[in-house]
Amino acid sequence: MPHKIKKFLAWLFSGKSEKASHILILPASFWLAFFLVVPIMLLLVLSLAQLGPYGTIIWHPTLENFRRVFTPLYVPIVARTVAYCGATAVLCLLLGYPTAYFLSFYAGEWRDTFLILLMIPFWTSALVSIYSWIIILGRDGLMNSVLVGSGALGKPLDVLNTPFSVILGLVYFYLPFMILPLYSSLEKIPKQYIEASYDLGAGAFQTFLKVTLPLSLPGVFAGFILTFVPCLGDFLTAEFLGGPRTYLIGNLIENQFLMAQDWPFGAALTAVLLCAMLIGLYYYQKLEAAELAA
Amino acid sequence: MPGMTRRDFLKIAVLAGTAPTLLASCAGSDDKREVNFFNWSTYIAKDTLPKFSLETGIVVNYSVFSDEEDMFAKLRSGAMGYDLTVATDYMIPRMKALNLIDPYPTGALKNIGNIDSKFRDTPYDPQNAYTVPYLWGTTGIGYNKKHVSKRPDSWWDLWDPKYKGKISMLDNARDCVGIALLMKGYPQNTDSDAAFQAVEKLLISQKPLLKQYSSATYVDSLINGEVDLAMAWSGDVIQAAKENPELDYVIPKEGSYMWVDNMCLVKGSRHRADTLRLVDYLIEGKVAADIANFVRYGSPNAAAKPYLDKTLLDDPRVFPPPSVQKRLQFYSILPPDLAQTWINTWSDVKAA
Amino acid sequence: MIFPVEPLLDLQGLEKSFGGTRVLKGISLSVGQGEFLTLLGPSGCGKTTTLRIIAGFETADQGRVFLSGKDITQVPPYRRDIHTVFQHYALFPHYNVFDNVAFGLRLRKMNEGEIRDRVLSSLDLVRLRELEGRRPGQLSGGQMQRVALARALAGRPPLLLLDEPLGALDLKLRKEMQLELKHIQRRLGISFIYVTHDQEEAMTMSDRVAVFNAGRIEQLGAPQDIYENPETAFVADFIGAANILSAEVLSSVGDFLKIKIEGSVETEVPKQNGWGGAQGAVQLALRPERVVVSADRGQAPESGWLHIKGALAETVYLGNSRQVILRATGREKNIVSSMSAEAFASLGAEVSGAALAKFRIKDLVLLKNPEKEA
Repeated sequence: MPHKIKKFLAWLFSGKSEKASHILILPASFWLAFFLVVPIMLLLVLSLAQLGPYGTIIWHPTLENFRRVFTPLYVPIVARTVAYCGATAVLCLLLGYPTAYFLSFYAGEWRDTFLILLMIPFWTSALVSIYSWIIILGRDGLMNSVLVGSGALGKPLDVLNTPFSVILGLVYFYLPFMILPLYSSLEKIPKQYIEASYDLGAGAFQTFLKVTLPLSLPGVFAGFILTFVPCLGDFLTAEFLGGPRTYLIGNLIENQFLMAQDWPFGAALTAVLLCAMLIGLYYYQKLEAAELAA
Repeated sequence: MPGMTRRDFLKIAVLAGTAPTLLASCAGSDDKREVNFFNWSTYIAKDTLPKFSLETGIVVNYSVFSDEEDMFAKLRSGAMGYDLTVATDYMIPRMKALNLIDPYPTGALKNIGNIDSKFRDTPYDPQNAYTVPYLWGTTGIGYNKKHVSKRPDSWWDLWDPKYKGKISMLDNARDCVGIALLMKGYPQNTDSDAAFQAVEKLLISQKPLLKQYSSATYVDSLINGEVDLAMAWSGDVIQAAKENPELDYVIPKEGSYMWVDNMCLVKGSRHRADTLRLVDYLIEGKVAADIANFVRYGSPNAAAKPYLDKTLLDDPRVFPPPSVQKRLQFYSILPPDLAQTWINTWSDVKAA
Repeated sequence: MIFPVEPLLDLQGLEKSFGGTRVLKGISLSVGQGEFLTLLGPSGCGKTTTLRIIAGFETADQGRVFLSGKDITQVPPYRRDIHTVFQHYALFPHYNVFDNVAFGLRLRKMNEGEIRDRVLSSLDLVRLRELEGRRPGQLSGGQMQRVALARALAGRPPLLLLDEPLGALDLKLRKEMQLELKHIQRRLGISFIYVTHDQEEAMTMSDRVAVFNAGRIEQLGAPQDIYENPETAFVADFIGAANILSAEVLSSVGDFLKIKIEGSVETEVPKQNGWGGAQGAVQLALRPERVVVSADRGQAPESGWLHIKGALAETVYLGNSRQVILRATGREKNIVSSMSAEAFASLGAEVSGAALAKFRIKDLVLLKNPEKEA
């Protein structure tokens, strides 16, 4: 019997049998089917339903929810969300590029340590991080204590619940999503290209402009998409660090599911957002493929 | 309706962390003597539940929410294993309609007579079939005396440009839309489009002055000077004022709401007997008084009165004098489509 | 080589260590104007490090680099008038062929017309003018190699460094490119320093070869010189093949040393390379093509010849020649002979048993003992 099992395992992992490959991806396929595909299908069905009294759902198909999504009322929210996410992605790029550059070219033996430090926010509960920011940015918070205490400011700055605090929070959360693809893209540049550039007479800055930067552009695009796209759906940050005028698409959706109890409309909003994200990811995928081909 | 008062910020995070444990502990543990109790945060005295457990041997798994809509959404999205929840009066018809709560079996509570007759047979739940009143309070304005020179007495003070960026509003349709209707002189049960348009305009016009919409952290904002004026729930501010004397609470002259929070039996509960035991315990006079003394809300419990702190009894902010009581009303029980109009109005305000 | 004027490049006592390992142990070298010098050696011998120090990518721990008499030891690579052809071409993938070749010229602020002329003439040189618009990804290996060459030559540097530039090409293309490189070098009169581990390549192309071993230059000289008079066992073995025979110096008689070869007889060899003072154990090199194998019929060596007795172990077919391996009696190492097909055929079936390795005494090369590590 053990022999048979051994033989089966050998067959399974031989990497040659098509049947074995199907068996190997079976668990993940089921997982994805039940926890991703089915919920998304339900969401799409839900988005076609109607809202009944007390938030009940009437299963009578309509496109009304989608029509509502595209009413002028929500244009400012979409514009604001795109602006905030764009600003976040740009700031992440400005902060992330030097960091990734440092990791690739200067960090040396400390590189792994820095990469792990970079991942720490991922392992922290988002709520804990957000409350930490509230504590830091508050009127009595760390930032104001330092600024006022040192005499740099006469009176505390009210930065909490402003667009500034929201974008700061978003940058904080999504910065690693910028740094990692940038780092991997910079890391992939063969050192020979840089040497070749020096060799042909380009100094360090010219080399950066003419060789390193253009070759890292796939990472820049990837980072931009990986920060911009998930940022579109963020609601926690605006909810806790924002004010009445930092309402984003994510908050709108959250509101439909919680406060407004309008699940069909929330589902329609989510479906549209999901589409936008998929388009973004599609381009990201294309870029990746193009980069692999090169 | 007290939100997250005090500096127990991280409670939500803790809650988020404990929910799975709660689920796990419930799975197939019908025989265990326990009750899963879902309540507003800081809405109970510190020793209430430990004492109950000592007395009865029943373990209480206590979880908190800071937003009633969250609680509602959790119950609605399926069994989270909760046995007992606390809900505000106007929620009751909705929860009944969606079949989220069960009626109390007749004769199950021997202390039910303790409840003040004023709080029985209410419009939101005739014959108190589904509810046992827990605490009551009012909606008003909390403010910081250090930064607000003139005692506010009107809802319009929350629209005063002098306090631009220093104003907080509760984050729910009931209080905001309702008070705005009141300010504009419309009846609470109006269904006129003009009324809701006016309300929407009024609330949107306030947005540039606002620091935040918050039902959770606004008391902290008041304490640390982030905001100077806040639409608030009485007990939240009064409780915080015990330690921060510069905080005060008023009920504006235009009138406001009083509301009752109720204990409700969650449908599908597998610990019904123990849950009833807990409810019965919580309406014992002494126990109910301990809770009110701690959280500084009014107790609907007649038997609790002898045990209430004198400072609480004498506090007109907790027990308003008849002149103020005249101006208070319950939240209206709205027909479903009108309730939806309120919600849509509020959604539009927030989205604007 | 003696330079009438100062050499173009002069390396003086370069030392370099990486993480405690000494990779260069005092490299001194001069390269003349228009010279084709090859740094030859197995991998890890220090030849590439030397090249990188010349290019400026590495800095020597000790020693100096002079270019046209100027000390450039501390000058960064982008200020050195030296260009490199990299092993894997290192063509910028985001530029087309034209822009790759123009890269260095644009940095010199030349006007576009001038740049265009220079780029096209460089591409003409490698016969790739028609590919100016292609991206490196669309080129074959050989084409990329030519573009890399054109790019390095476009600035007309006095000195070009080539780091195993043909290593990734197949044999036929490599042979073609060898000739073409040599041809271009002659035509432009530019000095080439060429790194390779392929001794045949080194022999074909170079004016001089520096044979590297373990961080030192074992021998520096013209290819023929190195081949015919290897100074050390390493050189003898690395350049072509060689039988290394151990021997003992018995005495010195005039211009001759009297020695006893292991497994053979006493004989006298001429002193050469100034090693007349050798004593004790020495080594001798003997090229396989100088060894003839024949059947052992107990015959005595002719005058000026030596015999080593043994038995035929193996023959290897090499097309136009045969490698015949003889297990020598009383010796650890086999004797290898390289014989023409005809000579091998004339041996016939006779040599199935006892055989003789025959060679001329004058074909023995007395080797210098490798320097002992300090």
